Amino acid sequence: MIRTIRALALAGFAVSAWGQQLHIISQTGGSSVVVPNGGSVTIAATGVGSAATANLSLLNAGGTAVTISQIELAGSPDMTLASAPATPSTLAAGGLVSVAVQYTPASVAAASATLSITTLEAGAPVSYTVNFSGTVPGQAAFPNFVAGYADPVNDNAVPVLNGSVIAFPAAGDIAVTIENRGTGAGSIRQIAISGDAAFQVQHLPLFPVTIAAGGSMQFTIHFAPPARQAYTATLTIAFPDRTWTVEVRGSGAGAALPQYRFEGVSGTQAPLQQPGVGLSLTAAYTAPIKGTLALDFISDVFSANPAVQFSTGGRVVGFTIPAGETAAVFDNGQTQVRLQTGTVAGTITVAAAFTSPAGVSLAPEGEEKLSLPVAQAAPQLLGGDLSARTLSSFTITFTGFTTTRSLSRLDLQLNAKSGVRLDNGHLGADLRLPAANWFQNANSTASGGLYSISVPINLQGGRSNEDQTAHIQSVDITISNELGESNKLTVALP
Amino acid sequence: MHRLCATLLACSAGLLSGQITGPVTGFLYHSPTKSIRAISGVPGSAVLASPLIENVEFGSVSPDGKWALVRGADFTAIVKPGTVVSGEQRPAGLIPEIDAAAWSGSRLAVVVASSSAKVYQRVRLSGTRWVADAPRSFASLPGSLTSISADTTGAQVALGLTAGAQGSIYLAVNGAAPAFVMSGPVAAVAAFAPRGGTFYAAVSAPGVIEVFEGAARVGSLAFAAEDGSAPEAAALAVSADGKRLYATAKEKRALWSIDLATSQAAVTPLDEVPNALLPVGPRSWLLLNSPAKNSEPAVLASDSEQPVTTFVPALEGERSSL
Repeated sequence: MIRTIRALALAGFAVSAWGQQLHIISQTGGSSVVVPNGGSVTIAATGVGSAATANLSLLNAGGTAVTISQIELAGSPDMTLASAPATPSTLAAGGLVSVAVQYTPASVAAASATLSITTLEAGAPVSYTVNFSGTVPGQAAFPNFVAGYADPVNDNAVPVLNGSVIAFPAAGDIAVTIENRGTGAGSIRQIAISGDAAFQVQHLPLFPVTIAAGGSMQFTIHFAPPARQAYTATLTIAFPDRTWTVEVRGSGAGAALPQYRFEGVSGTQAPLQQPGVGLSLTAAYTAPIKGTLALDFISDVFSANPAVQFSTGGRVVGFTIPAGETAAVFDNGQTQVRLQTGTVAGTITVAAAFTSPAGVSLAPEGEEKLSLPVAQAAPQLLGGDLSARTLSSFTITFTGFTTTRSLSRLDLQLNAKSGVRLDNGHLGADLRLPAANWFQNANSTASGGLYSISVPINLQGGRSNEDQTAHIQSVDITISNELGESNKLTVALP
Repeated sequence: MHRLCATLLACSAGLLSGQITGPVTGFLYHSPTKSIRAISGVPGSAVLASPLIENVEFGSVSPDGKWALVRGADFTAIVKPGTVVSGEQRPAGLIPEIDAAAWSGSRLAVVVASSSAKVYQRVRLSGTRWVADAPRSFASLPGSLTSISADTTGAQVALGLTAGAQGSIYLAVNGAAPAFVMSGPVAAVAAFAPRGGTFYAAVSAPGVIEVFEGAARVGSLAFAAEDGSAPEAAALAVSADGKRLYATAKEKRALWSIDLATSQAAVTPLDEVPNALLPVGPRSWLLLNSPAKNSEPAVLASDSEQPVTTFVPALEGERSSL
C-alpha cells in the first residue's frame, strides 16, 4: 500500500501519536497552524535590515510530562533564536512554551535555517525539526525542498532529512514526497538507492527533474525482504548544490519481532522472595514497541496465591522498547520489575505480549513463557516471641509458612534453666485438623501458605505465688507437614 | 533442685484451630481508599488486606499496631484497628482538624496536631481510656508545621516549623510552651529516640543532623549522597533498638542508616523517592512509601543494620483503576 504525506493544518489539537508528544504550533496573523515534524515556516521581512519574527508554541499534547533537553537553530546567520525555554526543562502534560525565531536579512540573498528540538518522552529521546525560510522584497527566487513520508505503522508524518532514517516495520512500500516550498523552481539531479537489493526505488522521473515553486514529486521505496533478517540501504537525493544521504532499514518476515528472552529471575524459586525480571530482544527492532508482561499462577495445592504480583501492583505490567534498542523499560522506568513469589506451591508463569505503537499485535519469533516453579516442601519457621505470661503459664506465638498449605505436627522442647528439673520438657500436638480448618477457611487465602500459631503452655510445681516461668530458659519449636520437619526456632524467655 | 511439669493448655484440635491465623505485619493508613488496612502476611509475601476502618480522612496507627487514630468527616477516635468507630471513642477535649500525629516511644501516648489551627495536644492511654491533655497553641511561632515527634511518654514534643526556606525546631516539655531550639536554612524535621530524651533534628544545614538532649545540643551527625553532595533531609526516624538513625532526603532514591555508636552512615539505594519514614508493626519495619494511588504498592524496609526493602501490593481484587 502506498501512503502519502497528509496535510497537518489542524483546527483542533488532539493527543499526538505515541512517541510524538510535542505539537509545534506556528502563530501567524492571529491563526494557529500545527507544523508537522520536519515542516517549514516562512518568515517574510519587509526589507533588508528589518527584523521579522516567527513565533512558535510547543504544546505537550501527551498525558505525561516531556523533558525538553535541547533547542538549537542552525543555518543562515540572518536567522537567530530570539527566545526559547532554558534546557533542560520539563513541560507538563498540556503545558505550552514559546520559541521565537528572528530573521533580519543582511542582504536579499536566500536565507534558511533549521530549528532542532530534542525531547525525552517516556524516557526515550525524540527529535523534532522545523525548517525556516526567509523572504525579503527584491530577493531572487530560490527553491526550498522538503521531503517526508507517512509512517506505515501509525500514519504519522515523518520528515526525510539529510542523515535521517527511513524504517520499514514490514515488507511493503513507502511513498516519499519531495515538495518545493521555496519561491523559485529548483531541480533534482538524481535519486538512487544502494545496499541490500531488498530495497528498490520506483516511480522515478527522468533526471534531472525541475520542480516549480509549490510543486512536488513523489517516488516509492519498495521493500521485499527475501529472508527473515535485517536489511539496510542508502538512499541518496542529489540536488545541484548538495546531496542528502538517508539510511533505509527493514526486517524480513512481515511484522515478526526478533526473538526475546527474559532476564534476571529463572528456574525454581524459593517462597517469600521478590526477584526482578527483565526482557530483551535478541536484536533491535526498527520501530518502537509497546508490550505487557502478565503473571499467572497455577497452584499445586488447589489454592490461589494473591501475593503473586508485580511491584507495580497487580499481575500485568507495561513496558516499551524504543526503536533500535533491545531492552524493555517497564512502567517503573527501569529495565527490571520485581515480582513476589508468595508462599504457595505451584508455578508462576510470565508471558510477554507485544504491540506496535498503533496497537497492532506483533508476533515474536517463537513465543516463550518464563516458568518459575515454587516447590512443595517442609514448612519453615520465620520468627516467634513470648506473647503472654503469667506466674504459671506463658504463650509462644510464632510465624512461618508451608507451601503445601498443610501442617501435621508441632513439637516444643522446653529448656529449663540450670538447677531446674523439668519432668516433661517435650510437648507435642497433632496439627492436621486445626491446620486443615485454617487453610480451608476462605479467610486464609490472602495469607497463602503463611501461618501464625499461638501456643499456651502451663507450668506446674513449686509454690503457687512463685513465677514458674522464670525457670524456663527457652523453647525450641519445630513443625512438620507430610514432606518433613521445619528448621528449629528458639524463642528465649527473657 | 526445682521441679516443674509443663503441659500444653490447648492440645485439643478444637482449641488450636482458633490459634492458627494469618500473620499480620502491621497496619497503615491508606490514603487512596481513605482507610486503615492491615499488611497481611510477612514482608516478602504480603498484601494490603481489605479496609478495616473506612471513610478516614486522616489516620495514624501506633507502631505496635494496637491503636489507630482516625479522623473522618463526623468522627475522631482512637480505636483498635478493625473495631467499629463510634462517637463514644472520641477522647473528651480532643482538638479538631487533626492532620498530624506522633506516637510516643512507649506507644501509650500520641501527640496530635492541627496544622491549620496551629494547636497540638498529648493524648494518653489511662487504663483502657484515652485521655486528652490540655491543648497547646503554637500560633505565635512563624512557619508551617513540617515535623512533630514525641519522646517516650509524650512529655517532650519536638516541633519542626518551616517558613520559606527557613526551618526552626522548638521543644515543649511537660505541657509548657514550645521553646526555640535551633533554626537553619532547610525545612525542619526531628525525631525522638524511642527511649530517653535524645532527639535528632535536621535544620542547620543540608547533610547535617544535630543531636539534642533536651534543648541542649550535644553533637551532630553527617550524611551525604553517593555523589558527595549534602542532601536535605525529608524525614528522620530512630530504630526500635535506638541504635540507628534513619533519614530520607528530598528527591533522593535512598535510605540513610546512621550508626549512632560510630556515626557512620550507610546508604541503601531505593527504586523510588520515599514519601514516608514511619515505624510499622512490632517487628521493626519502616514504611517508606505510603501509596498515593490504589494500584501503588507500599514499600517497607527492615529496621536492621542493612535494611532490606520489600514491596506490598494491594490484595488482588481490591485494586481499582484509580
